[in-house]
Amino acid sequence: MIEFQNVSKTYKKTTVLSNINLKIEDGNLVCLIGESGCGKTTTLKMINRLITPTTGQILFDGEDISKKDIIKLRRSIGYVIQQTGLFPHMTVRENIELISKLKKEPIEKIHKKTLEMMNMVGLEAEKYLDRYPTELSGGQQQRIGVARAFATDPNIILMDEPFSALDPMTRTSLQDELMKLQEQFHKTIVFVTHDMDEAIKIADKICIMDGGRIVQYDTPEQILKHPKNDFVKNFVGPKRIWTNPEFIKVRDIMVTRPVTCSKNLSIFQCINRMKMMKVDTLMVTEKDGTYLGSLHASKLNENSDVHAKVEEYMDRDNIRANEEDSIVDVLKIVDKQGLSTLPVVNDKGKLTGFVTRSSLITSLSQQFLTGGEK
Amino acid sequence: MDFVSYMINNYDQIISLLIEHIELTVIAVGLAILIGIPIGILISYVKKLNKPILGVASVIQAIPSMALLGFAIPFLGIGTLPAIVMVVLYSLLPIIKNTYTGVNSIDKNMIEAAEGIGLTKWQILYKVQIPLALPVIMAGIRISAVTAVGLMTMAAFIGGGGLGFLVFSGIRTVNNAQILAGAIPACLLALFVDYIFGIIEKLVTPISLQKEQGYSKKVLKKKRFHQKVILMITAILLIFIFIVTNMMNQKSSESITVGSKDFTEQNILCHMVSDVIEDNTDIDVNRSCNLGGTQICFGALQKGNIDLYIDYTGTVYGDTLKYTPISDIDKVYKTVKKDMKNKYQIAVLDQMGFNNTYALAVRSETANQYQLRTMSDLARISNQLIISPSLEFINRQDGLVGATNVYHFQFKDTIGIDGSPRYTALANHESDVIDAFSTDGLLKKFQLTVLEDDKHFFPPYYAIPMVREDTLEKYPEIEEILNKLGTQLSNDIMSELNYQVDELGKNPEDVAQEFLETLPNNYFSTK
Repeated sequence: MIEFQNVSKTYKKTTVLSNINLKIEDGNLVCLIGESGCGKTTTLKMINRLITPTTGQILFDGEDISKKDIIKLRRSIGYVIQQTGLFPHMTVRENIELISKLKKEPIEKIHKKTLEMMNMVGLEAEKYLDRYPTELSGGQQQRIGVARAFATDPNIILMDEPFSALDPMTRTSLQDELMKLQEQFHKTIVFVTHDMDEAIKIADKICIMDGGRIVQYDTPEQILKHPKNDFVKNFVGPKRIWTNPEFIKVRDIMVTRPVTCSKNLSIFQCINRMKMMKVDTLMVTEKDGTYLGSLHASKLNENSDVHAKVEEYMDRDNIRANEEDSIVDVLKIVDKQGLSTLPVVNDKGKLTGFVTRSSLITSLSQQFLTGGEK
Repeated sequence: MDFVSYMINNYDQIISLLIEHIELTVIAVGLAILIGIPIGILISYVKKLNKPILGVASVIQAIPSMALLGFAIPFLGIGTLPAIVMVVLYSLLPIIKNTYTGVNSIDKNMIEAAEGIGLTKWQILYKVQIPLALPVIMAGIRISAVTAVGLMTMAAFIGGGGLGFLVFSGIRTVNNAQILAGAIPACLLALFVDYIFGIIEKLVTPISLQKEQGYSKKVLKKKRFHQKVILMITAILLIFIFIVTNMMNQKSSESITVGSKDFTEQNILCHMVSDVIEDNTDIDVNRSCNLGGTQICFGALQKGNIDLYIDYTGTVYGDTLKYTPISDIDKVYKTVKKDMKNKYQIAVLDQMGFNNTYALAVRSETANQYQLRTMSDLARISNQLIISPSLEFINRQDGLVGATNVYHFQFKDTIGIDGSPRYTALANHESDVIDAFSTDGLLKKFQLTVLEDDKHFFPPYYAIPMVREDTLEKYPEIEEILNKLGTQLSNDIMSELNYQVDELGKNPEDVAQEFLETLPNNYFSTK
């Protein structure tokens, strides 16, 4: 865990960072984001001690990093920066192996690791290892930068706007690959960016900074849904959530307080309840609220035994959505199954609400209405 | 065609001087690199030192090389050492400046990246900064090296050797062929050095950054291979030269160094004295002929850079000892001998048989036109004439200063010209009167009329061997040999010998030897 404790930085009279407190959990990818001059890069560079805090301290697993050997510290942290990070007079191989060689690791081990790294970032070793950075495209160079950062097996990797100079296509594919790597290796990654889409896409947590302070430090979802103040709201942008519909959860759009009935209720009583509540479907639950199935008005006719219990007429194989599912998932289910009503349950299987076609349309139309207001 | 025949006749001397020149240049540039690059790196880190150091290096660059050499003699003496020091000093600026620029122009972000991934300052320096700055540094070294080749010709001015020897001798004896024989190889050497360093500059540029468009990496690699072969051959040749000349230079401990001033007569005497010592004793002689003026030679003698040289009584009396010039031959000699022994521990041997005093000379036509025979005649019409004396003569009490007091000269203009070019100036009618030595062969060559010193102003200038006392203690046999040699020389003989060199273009070395061969066999044998 990386922990910033009351960290401030001042240059002569200008305060660059004031009183930063930040905890970065192991295995998390945290994005530092903000406008230029907000202090995000300064914060990043304090982690590998390129910049020393004026006051406060930074701890790794409780140990003050200013007490550690600076060279050892830096070699235990991967560092990827925008393009210029590769040395132009060294081949790809020399760039990747630089630190391992300085550490005097056995050469066979280094070569093996290099092949592994090339494989990891999806570049053919034979074709590229003896080339110079200038002979590679921007995307390839940045892949090598990532390979170099991973080559020493660091637990922490710092990335300073690594993809911002790339074209959108390449950027997207590198982001995807970074996420894949992260799934596999679970490094602690601190990632500086000014691109909110990028942050939302890759981050476990986002730290929004402004004027040397942390404004909000939270999960992407929370930031999208519950921006702490107007700054965050403006920074995120009102329509941002609609470009990331996976963050719109069923919980946010479902109709709560569904009309339910117990499985022991008679059909007669059910029909009465449908009429009273003006619905065509009843959700059948246990007494503790566990969802069992649903009863549709269309299943009942004149020949139905009005004294029979709901159990006999209800649909049991009911398709349901979890309240943590996203709007995208629900749309897929509704589209596939041709349902009009979709029950929503929580993780314990208890019924918490439902989604209808009409409630979906209402939710989706929000984006156009909010857009209009702005 | 004069030049070609000179080259053919003296090719062995030219080649050995060329080799000497190469060695001196390599050593000087090598030292300049060893000093300049660390300083350049230092000032790129410690910015405060940047201005003072570059300032000092620039000021050094602006000092005339002659002045720097003259200034260095009291500390460093004469010969190769001060020459190398001078060239090193002049070579520093481009190296320091380019190192500083090269190191400083590297992208700051890249340096920070290197720091960030855990390179130490030292590793950043030799893994990143120096490799990336090397092309710029090499460009600086290239400038220094090419300049050094030219500058090293100044080494001959203080007996350091090299191709400048031919240039200086040529200027003194108005021998254009000889000047060219020194200058042309020096130019070719400079071009070659430029070519070689151009190759190094390309080779140290990382192949990835080499901007030669239209070449594929394969072609570049092939080119690089050829360039490396050329460099290898050059390096091997250099090492070979150093080894061979070092083996040849194994000096025996039984050796003395003979020096001389920088005009023809002194050159002949230098070789003559060296020859008689070599031929008649077991002592090895190093010849540092053509050193420079009186002060340089006397300074070198005091410091022990040379063991002996020939000076003139009047020069020592008036110039070195600062007595007011007098014309009493005996008194001058005795004072000189006594003072040199007491003040400087230098032994003055017997006066040699010739008196090379000053004289004023004019073109024969001028003499006819104005009916000039004596210096008093000259004084009468001096306001119509321009004098172009040597710089030393202008400033000496027993030279123009004293002569003006006695004869009341009022020349229209006084233009100081050093060495033999003043004869050329006279011949070209750019001036009308020059100072000359009474034994000077150039007087004959240019058919000049020597004016009689009718008021006996010029003091006696008898040649005297000046030998360090410690040398004489070690090799007492020298004294008798040199005294014997002295009795064989006269004004006429000296003039003749000078004439052979200046007019007939013979080598001073050969002229000295030929003269010695005319002496009876066993003449010097001590028994």
